[in-house]
Amino acid sequence: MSFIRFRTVSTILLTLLLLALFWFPQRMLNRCTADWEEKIASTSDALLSGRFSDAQQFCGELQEDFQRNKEALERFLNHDAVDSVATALGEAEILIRAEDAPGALSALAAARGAMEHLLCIERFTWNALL
Amino acid sequence: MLNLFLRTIFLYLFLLFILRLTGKRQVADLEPFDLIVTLVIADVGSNAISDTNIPLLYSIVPIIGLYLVQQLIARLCLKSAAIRHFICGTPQALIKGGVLQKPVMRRTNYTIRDTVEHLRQKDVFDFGEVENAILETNGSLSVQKKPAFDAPTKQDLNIKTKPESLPHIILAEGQYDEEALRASGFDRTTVDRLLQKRQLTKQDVFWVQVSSDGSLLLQTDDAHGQKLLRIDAEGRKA
Repeated sequence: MSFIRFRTVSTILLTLLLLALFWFPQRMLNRCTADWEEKIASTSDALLSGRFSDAQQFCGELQEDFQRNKEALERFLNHDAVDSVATALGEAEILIRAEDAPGALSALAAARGAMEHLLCIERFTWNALL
Repeated sequence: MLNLFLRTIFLYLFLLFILRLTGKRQVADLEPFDLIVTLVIADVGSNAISDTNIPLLYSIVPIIGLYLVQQLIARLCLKSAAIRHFICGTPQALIKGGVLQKPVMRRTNYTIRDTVEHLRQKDVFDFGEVENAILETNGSLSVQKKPAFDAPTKQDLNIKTKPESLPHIILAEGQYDEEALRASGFDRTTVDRLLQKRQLTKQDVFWVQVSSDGSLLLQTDDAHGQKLLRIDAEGRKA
């Protein structure tokens, strides 16, 4: 294969890889964060109505789901940003077990904020660009 | 640590691949847009090597992006003279008819000192020898000397010449270069036979070159005194 043909093929493949990288990580992140948002909302509702066992169950599911996807997320997101979600969720889990509703709600809010940050990294906005 | 090492190797190979794709111009004559790509790629690559908190994709995506932009600009420059002029600039005549062009010097931020330095690099030490000097877009200076100071060519001296082929190193450090062998019109058996006539094997020589006239020039290895030897197509000392 001549160099020019090799370069053309490589350039096409690299362009396709780039387009795939524009699409797949964002799609995965959108799906994950939508699920987690739902679970955070369910946990918060349970906490607000004093159902700590339900809150513990929702938060456990949330943690499990997060841990399952953490490795994949770290392939395209800054590890510190992913870790900040993990830390906030871990804190929320402990506080729910201790039946500290205000503390747990604040930790869940921090987790939601960290997830928003993840979305901002991956989603294109003019603000993020500037 | 192993992680860091493997990231370094991976990024090195990836950068090598990308820089190879961009072509040799990356190493030799850099146009402004080539220079930017090279500088930024180096920085982006080094970030991901040293910081394991950053995913490799954080380096790979920008590098691919820069490569694609570089390719796009290179193509646009090929297709459109206007874009080429805008991005690469135009060659500027720094010296025209032996006269330094002050407005050009001002425009290109070139001092007399810079001009003299560039001329010296072209083996010109006297302004009076220069007819024209063009500042190329990659920053190099092309010099045309006045006919009186230009070295005479064989044609000027009426010396007859015949076409010469390119010399090829066909054997180096005990290894034959198949491509060079093909290009020179020799084969392993012939070379081995010619060496044998001089009581040598391919292990006894450091390198063998097929010269333009078809003779073999070789250097024996340490054990044989590192001697230069020229032999003709019959294996005789030439």
